[in-house]
Amino acid sequence: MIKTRLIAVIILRDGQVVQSVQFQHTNVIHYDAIHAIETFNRWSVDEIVFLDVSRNDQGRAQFRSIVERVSETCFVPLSVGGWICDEDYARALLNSGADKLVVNTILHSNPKLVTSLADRFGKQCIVASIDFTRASGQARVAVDRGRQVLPSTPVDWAIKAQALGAGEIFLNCIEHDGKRQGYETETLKAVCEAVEIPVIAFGGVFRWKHLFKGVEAGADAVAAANIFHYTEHSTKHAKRYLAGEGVRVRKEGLI
Amino acid sequence: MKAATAIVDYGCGNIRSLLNAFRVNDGEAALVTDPEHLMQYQKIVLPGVGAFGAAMEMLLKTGFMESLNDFKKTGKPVLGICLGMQLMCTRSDEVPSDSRVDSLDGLNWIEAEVRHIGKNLSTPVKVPHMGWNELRFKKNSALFEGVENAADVYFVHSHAVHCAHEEDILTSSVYGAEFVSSFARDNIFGMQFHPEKSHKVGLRIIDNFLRMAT
Repeated sequence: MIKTRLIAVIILRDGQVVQSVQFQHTNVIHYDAIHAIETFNRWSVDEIVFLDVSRNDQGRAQFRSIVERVSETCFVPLSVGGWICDEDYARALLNSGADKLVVNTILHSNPKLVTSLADRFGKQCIVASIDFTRASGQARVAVDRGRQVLPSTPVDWAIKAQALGAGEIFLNCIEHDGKRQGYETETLKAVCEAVEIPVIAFGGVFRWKHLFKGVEAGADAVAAANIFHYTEHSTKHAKRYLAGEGVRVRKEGLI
Repeated sequence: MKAATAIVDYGCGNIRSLLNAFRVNDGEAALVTDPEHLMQYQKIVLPGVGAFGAAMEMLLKTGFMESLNDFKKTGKPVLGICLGMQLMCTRSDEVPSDSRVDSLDGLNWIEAEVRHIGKNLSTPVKVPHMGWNELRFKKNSALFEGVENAADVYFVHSHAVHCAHEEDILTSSVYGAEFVSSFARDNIFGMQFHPEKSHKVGLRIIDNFLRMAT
């Protein structure tokens, strides 16, 4: 039987690991990306997602070189994203050691590119990141790091992403991001039921039971960022909690 | 003693992480793009990501098909990973959507069929099979020395191998149905999972392969 994956998300701005709260990235967490990856690798986290949230695309070369360095010590799947808007950069990231590409804004601005990336590198390589907001009450998709709200619902967007060739969905609610209240499980559940590809829940984890709520909603993988940076062996404690709730997790990395 | 290992670079897939993993613990590994250089190596890794037909075409076009067949005859170890394992099989039902045939021929080093994971399942599963799953040992192999039965390894695939001969199967795994997650015959080895992404267990398997006598 396949295991529920526990994923550590590392958010980078201009080369530094930052905290994300409702898509604002003001707090720098005090160590570099290499240290973060090595720590999560040592704790046997199941997978790592590495996102560049820099304000512009000027930092792409720097991000790429960080990917190159971290991939040398990362022996679990490494997904990378942020500012992927052309095939050359996508290829450069893969050649630097990334295993999967996380795409977000191009699902809106250049959907054909998503399909051509899937054709070129395989669907398993394409993770569709879907951010949504409930600012108006209803769940609506937002792109461009949350700045542009679209009329589409996350469910429609996930179905569209799957049709374009995405192999996975990475779902995040802007109002829940960094707010310590757990995932927005209503939309999560609806998305999980609507698509056939794996769904990764993200945004808002502060208690281990939040991870379990994600699993209950149907997520194939549960992800968190900020919380994993704060305590020693955090991912191991998280895994132990999930195992205690009867979730099938990978044995390595349990406390 | 670890022998120099060639990682076949025939244009199919991202092999940087493979190279990184084979270089851990002082492994000596190189990406090889020229088929004429293969014979200089003691071991070969045949990776692969993407579609079966496209990969077979690339092997033919680059000239690797011939040199791989020559290398195989030397008796030195060859390890196929993921699609690389599938290419070693007799045939695959993974055909382009506009194809008129219902299967494509592989290298036929191991008598085995590659079939879509979702085929003939009473309870459907999500495809691809993506994530950590267990190895069930069927046979002892130096490849799995120091690895426990039911160890978790990382899989990403939509098609799976089914061997004609039980004795070729090293491990099986279950996703929807049971499939062959690794096989061996003489100097031929194949793994459906990604050892380079399977953390400590995967690195141990790679180390075992590198230490294998040639």
